[in-house]
Order: sequence, then structure tokens, then C-alpha cells
Amino acid sequence: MICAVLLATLGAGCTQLSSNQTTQSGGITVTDDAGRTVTIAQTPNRIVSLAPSITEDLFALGLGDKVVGDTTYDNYPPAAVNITKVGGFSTPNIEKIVSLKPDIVFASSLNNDTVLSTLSGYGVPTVVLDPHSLTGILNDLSLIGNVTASTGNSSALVANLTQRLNKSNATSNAIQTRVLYLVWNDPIMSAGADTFEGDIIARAGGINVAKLANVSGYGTMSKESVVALNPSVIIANSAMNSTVIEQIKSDPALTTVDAIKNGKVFVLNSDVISRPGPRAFDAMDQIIEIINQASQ
Amino acid sequence: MLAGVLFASVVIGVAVGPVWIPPQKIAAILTNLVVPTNRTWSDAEAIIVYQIRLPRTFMALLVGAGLAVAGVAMQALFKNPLADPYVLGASSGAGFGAALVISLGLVSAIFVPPAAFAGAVIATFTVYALSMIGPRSSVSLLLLSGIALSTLFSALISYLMFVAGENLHQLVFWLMGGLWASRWEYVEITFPIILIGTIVIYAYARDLNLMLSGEESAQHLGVAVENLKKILLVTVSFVVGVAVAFCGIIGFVGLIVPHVVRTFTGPDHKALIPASALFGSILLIWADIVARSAIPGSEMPVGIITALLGAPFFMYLVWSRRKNIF
Repeated sequence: MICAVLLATLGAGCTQLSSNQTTQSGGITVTDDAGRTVTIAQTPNRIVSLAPSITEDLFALGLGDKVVGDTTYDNYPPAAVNITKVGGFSTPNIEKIVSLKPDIVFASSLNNDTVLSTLSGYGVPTVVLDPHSLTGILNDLSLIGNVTASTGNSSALVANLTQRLNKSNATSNAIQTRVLYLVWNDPIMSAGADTFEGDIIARAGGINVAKLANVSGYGTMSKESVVALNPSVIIANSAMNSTVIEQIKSDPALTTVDAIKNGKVFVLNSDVISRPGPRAFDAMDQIIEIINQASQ
Repeated sequence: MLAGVLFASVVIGVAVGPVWIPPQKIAAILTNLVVPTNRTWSDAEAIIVYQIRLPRTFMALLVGAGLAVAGVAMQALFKNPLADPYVLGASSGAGFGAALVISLGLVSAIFVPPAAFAGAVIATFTVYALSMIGPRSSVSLLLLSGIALSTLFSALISYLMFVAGENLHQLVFWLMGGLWASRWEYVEITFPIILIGTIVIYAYARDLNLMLSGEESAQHLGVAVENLKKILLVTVSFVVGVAVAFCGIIGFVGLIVPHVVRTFTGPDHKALIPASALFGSILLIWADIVARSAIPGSEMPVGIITALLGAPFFMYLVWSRRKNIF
């Protein structure tokens, strides 16, 4: 049930170019990924992050020392572990957040709306980040840069990542390998259309079979469709341990699948592949390599 | 008649799926299992029919029958129309067992079914032990302890879900019940347990008929009531344990099937038990066909379908027969 709600909220909201304007008092007004207009009166010095991907964004932008609170799941970069924890991903403790006196809270679309509106009630501005593609991640980095008055850092980072993105386009356009990205195996869950994982696969020269099976957002996929669509590469999230991976490889129903037949099942660190932050570009590079290797 | 419908349901269960395979090919693939046939199909089509649809349809058949027969036994034993196979806490016990190993990161199919099975059996035996007054168990104490234990286990499941983090979706889908993981190995384990369970319960059909007149008079009529309770509780916990272990918690089948069948067969367990087994199979096969076809290419938990179809139908049944429901 909770999961269904999580998945539903993932689908909501859409990535849009961040628009921002300076107000008379030197503050800034932006539109976040949930389409909310947020005004930040002064340059934030105390930041709370409610998602591991956002913490990674902030550290990559050189704002790590301004992060005064994050969630129990935040483990990268290592310094993020020692930051005061405000609770779980979908269950942050509002009192704890308020007691940290943040100037701004960055949340993901997975965070509860009630948490956000309660925080707004306390006068804490909240900005929702919900990227559905690699360019969405870049837009969010720029948005954070604008909000925190660190556009110097953000333009440099965005320029660097854009370069990697363009390079990938040049190298991977020719290859068309059918890729199944496994979020989970029982039932089979994947990331289909309108997900940044799907975008990564496409940019790495893969055809996302979940998209072919009409999965939109994150959803289940029937085993029959996997057999029929016959992916030649399977990329599994490391949330599945080696026992589970062995089970997938030995599943009698999957013996005709090329990826299984030819031993092309790869496991990627779930923190890298499933967090829409700067490391998603590392995931892209890894998948480019996997696809190149598999198609030789 | 029901057997014919069941056969037709199995055929349709194998014929229907998100990937279209022409009926003549399916027929050829199945014929080929017995006598070698001219090959007109691809490997993938053979796998879909033989390794995905057939075990899945058989699993639905077995689990549907098992839950329905367990429901019949529980309703007779408790003389209570609201009793179902899960009334002794087997489902929440199994759910807790599964949730525990999943939250410990032991997410594979090697750990989850045994843990669920152990949870179901332990819950049933705990409830039985709590219901003892001297040498005999009290039926109302059984029901009350079953409810209390279910509540306790549900709270523990909620707690584990709250802290489960990234294993959460695994747990959620398992709790909603589904047949997507079915494979022949599971059918091979489930088949003997549910077959023997059904035969045992059927062997006590006469005793169950007498139980309807009350525990005391059944005792006077020569039923070894305490013995019967023990045998039925053990049997039901095994049947439900194996069903829940492989397919998660599939609700409503064990509650509504006995009621629906009773309206046709009457209360005689000699007819009620086999008819419930057949009807339970048919119902779950169809619920699963809907579950895997409702959103093409995607899997819906079958528990959603059984409850969605079952609850309104049950309400209608209760309403239309409100004077004489049990």
C-alpha cells in the first residue's frame, strides 16, 4: 500500500526548466519541480536535505558544510553520514527539522506533502526536486545553484556533466541493445518511460524493454513480456543480493532470454543507479561500458 | 459440471496472457509434451506456455482449492460463518515470518517461503495453546486469541515495513498476494500438501456435519471432538502455510467460496468439500487471469482482484439470503 502511494507520487509532478527572478528585497522566487512557487528571502546558510540524491547534489555543488540535516539513508559522500539525521526518507521528524533552524529544506517528490505544508506553515521554505531524466538532474543542479547563490559552482558542474552527456550521445547513438533494468525480481519491477533510469539506458545506446512493455514510471512487468521482448542485457540493482541474482539466472522461465543465455547479467550499485543526483552520470558511463562490452 | 468448468478454466488460463500465442501453437506445445509433434513454435513460446502459464495456472488451482477447503473446515469447526482459513492468525503469522526475513535482507525465495510457512504454523499452534481450558480447547477462546495474535502480528508487520527501507516494495507485494513467482518446483511442494490436506478434511466430512449441531451433541453422537480439532487445525495450518508461503496473502477465497457453494450443495460436507475445492480453483484461476491481463504487460496482485470481486458478491449473498445465511 505504502509502496503504491510512493510509486504514484513518483509519477506526479514533472521536470521543468527552473525559472527564477530576483525580488526587490534581494530574495529570490523560483518554481520547483512540483510546480510550486517558492520565495527564499535571503541566501540560505542552513540547509536540510530530505533525500540522499539531494544531499549528493549539495555536496557536489560545494555546499556540504551548509547541510545541517539529512536522512538516515544518506551515506554519500562519507561526510553525509555524520550530519544530524532528521528521520527516514518518507518519514522525517518535523520537530527535528524545525529545531535545526533551516533557511531552506530541499525535498524529493517521495516526501510527504503534509510534511512540506507543515514546514511551510513554520515559515521554512521548501523546494521539491523531481528529475525524470539526466537533463532534469542538470536543471535541478542549476536550480539549487540559483537558490543558494552558488551559480558559479553549479554552472561549472552542469557544464562538465553536459559535456559527458554529449560525449555519450556521440558514442552510443549507433548501438541499439535491448536492456532490462531490474529494480526487483519478484514480481519483476522496472523503470519505464518518464524515469531517469530509462533515460540513462536510452542515452547509453540501449532500448529499455520496460518502456516497450508500456511500463511508465516504476512498475511491475510480467515475466511473459520479458521472455517475449528478450533483453540481451540485464542490469540489476544491487538491492538484489547474490542469492537473488543466482535465482534469476537459474529461473527455468528465463532460459531463452539472451542476457541469461550469454551471461550478460550485470549488477550496479543501487545507490549509484537509483539516485537522481550527479552519480547518475557515473551510472550512465557504466551502462555505456556494459552495452559496448555486451555488443562485441 | 464444476469439473468441466475447471478444465475449461485451466485451458483459458494457459491460453491467455500478455503475450499472444495462437491457440494451435499452444495445443502443439502441449501435445509435444506427450507425443513429439512437428515444431511450429519458438523456444520463447514454449517457455511461456510450459514454464510460466502452466505452473501458474496449476498453482492457482491448488491454492484456490486449498484455501476454500480450509475455509469450509474452519467455518464448521467454529460454527461461525465469518471464520476463514486465516482466522487462527495463520496469515498474519506467515506475514510476520516473511516480513522478518525480508527486513533482515534475506530477500530470496530460499528464505521467504519457509519463514512464512513457519510463521503460519507457529501462529496456529500458539492460538491453540492459548485456548486450552484444562484438557479441552474452547472455540470462543480460539477465535479471540486468533484475533489478538493477528493484531499483534499486524502491528509487528507494520513496524517492520516502517523500518524496511528499500526492501519495502518486496514486502508490500508479498502481502498483497500474487502468483507471479509460480514455478514447477513450488507446484511440486504445494501439490502433495494440499492434496493430502483436502483428503484429510474430506475424511472427516461426517464429523463436520455432526459438529454443526454443536460440540456437545457431536460428542454424544460419537465424534472425538478434541481430536478432530487438533487434526483439523494441524491440517489447515499446513495447507494455509504452504499457500501463503508461495503466493502471499490471498484474501476472501476461503471466506466466500464455502458460502457460495453451500447455497447449491446445502450443508452436507460430503458434497460441500469437493465442490468448494473445485469452485475455489476456478475462482482463483479466473482472478489470476484478470490480475495478469488487467494492465497489459504488468502484474497486479491477485489479492486485489479476489477482494474486489469477492467483497461485493459476498455482500449481495448476505443480503439476498439474510434470513438463512448459515
